[in-house]
Amino acid sequence: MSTNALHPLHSARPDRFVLRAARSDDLDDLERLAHASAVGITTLPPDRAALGARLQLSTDSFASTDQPSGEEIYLFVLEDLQLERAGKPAVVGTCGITASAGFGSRFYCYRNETVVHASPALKARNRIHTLHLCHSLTGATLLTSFYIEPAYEAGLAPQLLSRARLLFLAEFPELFSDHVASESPGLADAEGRCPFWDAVGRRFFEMDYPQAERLAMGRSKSFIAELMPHSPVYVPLLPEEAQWAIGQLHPVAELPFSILQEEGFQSETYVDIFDGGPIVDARMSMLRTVTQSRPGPALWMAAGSPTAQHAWHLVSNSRRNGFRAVLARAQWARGHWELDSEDAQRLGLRVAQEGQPRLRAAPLSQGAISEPWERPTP
Amino acid sequence: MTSNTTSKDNTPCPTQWLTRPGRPEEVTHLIGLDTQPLEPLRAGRQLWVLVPPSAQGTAEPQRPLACLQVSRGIGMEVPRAWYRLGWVVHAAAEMSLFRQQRTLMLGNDLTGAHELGGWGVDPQASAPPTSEAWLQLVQQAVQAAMLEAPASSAPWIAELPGVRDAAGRSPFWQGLGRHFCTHDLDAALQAWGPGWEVHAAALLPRHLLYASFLPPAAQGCMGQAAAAAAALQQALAQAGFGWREHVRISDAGPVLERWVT
Repeated sequence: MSTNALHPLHSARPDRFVLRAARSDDLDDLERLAHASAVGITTLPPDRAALGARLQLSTDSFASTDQPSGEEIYLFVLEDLQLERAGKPAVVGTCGITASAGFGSRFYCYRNETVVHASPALKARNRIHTLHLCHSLTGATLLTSFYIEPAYEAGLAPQLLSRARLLFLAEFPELFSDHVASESPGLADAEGRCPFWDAVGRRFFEMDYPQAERLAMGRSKSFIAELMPHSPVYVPLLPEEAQWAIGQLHPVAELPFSILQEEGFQSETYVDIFDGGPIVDARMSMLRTVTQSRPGPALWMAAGSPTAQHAWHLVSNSRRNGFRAVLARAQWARGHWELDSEDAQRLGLRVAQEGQPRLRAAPLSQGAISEPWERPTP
Repeated sequence: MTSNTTSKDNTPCPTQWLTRPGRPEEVTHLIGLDTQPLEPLRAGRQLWVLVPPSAQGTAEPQRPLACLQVSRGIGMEVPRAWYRLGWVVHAAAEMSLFRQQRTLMLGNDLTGAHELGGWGVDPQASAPPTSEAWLQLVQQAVQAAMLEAPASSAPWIAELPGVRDAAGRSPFWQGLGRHFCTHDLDAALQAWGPGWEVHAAALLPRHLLYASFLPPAAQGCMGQAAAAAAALQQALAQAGFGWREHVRISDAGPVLERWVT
């Protein structure tokens, strides 16, 4: 950790980043990120055509004014404005939201269960860990596709990248489920050998995990899942290495996973049926950034005003199409969010705009909110 | 099948064996086919013994060479459990996938059957009973029971001990049962006596199991009888017992069944 602390980007000014809805001209950048990702972001295939289709679905989802169907996905990119000013590709990270897991089909995962077998005659009472194939997360909203360039892992950029999605959820709850989940990659080595897959999936597919995953992307993931055993997996029957891999995180996912844990996501219940990686879930209304976020009109303060003393916040505009979020110093005062007028541009807003645009902000540090939550009267 | 001739090495022909109801004190020198002590005769069971012919010119009674026990309407008081082997097929034409897999389902399928069990042999005997000898004993015991209750249409079953490895352990138990019931098979037998598997069933998985989750050695011995039971297995086949894919929960020895047609 100490080396991270010394990383030049650790002390990078938090206000040099902008998170925004991905646009169709981001395809090159997304393709670059998809190829750079070590274990592969399953929802971001390194295949231009598939990526283009997802990006199209995302831009349609942002632009839509229809009732949500559940098919929507929302892709976001993180830009480093300093790179942009230097004329370099500015996109350094991406993330996404899938409105409804298993849309049009089913979302499969294993649920951790304990069954107790008892025999009074043998004076034995055993707790047995089992994995039950289930559809509980079908229809839940998924946080997906988190990837940030390694140089940016230190510092606050990952906080903005991951948690801005929660501001989006809080701003548009009607588009999403109250049940929010996120999959993380499980243990696998550099060749893609995965102990959980080898002990479970391989017995049914006779192929490698990466191969099955490629097929799963080509078809629906549930198509693959339907070929898995539908009776519970008795964990004691698995090789030790596979038992140990259940709910274990691939090291590359530690950062995004820890951000979700701090948000209040729980990792006890579900694991991925392919690699045994943890699937975290929570009620949207229990997530810290959601509960601590507050909507309110902006009050732009002139440059050099006392905003320099305000605490750092995650701040977003309230546009579905054209969503942007930044890290900014802000303060809730007299029914307004006080921000430096220079932040307006990063949020895609104009200070001179008529009326005061609605913002949503949550404290960057997840301590107690300075004032009690009050719902603004409509 | 049982003609009045002598076999080529002049040993007595099968019909000269005597099969008759036995008494518990007559079989104390016998041990199980799995070399473990015999289960004591419980109330309601009948003991049948196979006695070799008296030596020429003497009237000295011979010790039984083998025995069996008949239990009627099993599992009605203390449940009995077996694994039923089955098949599942996972197929996906799009992936050119066709995979047929063995499954095991714990159940009480054979509850109410009549059982031939408690197989005992004399470890001191010069040779173990032949299949002809076993056949005579089996047929006698079944016929007597059917005369007693001619209307019964319950099937007959006979469990055979399963395969053990060179170290005397059951690969099936090592691969499956031991994970749920921490005892070694023989240690459990020592601690609770024969028939302890009745209680072990309560500790075993109730859901469908895929055999592919078991080690290959455990999969390989499902439905295989111990070599010591080969002659008995042959006799049971001749007596109309067949294997309908039930196995013992302890060592996966076959459970042979004879259904009244």
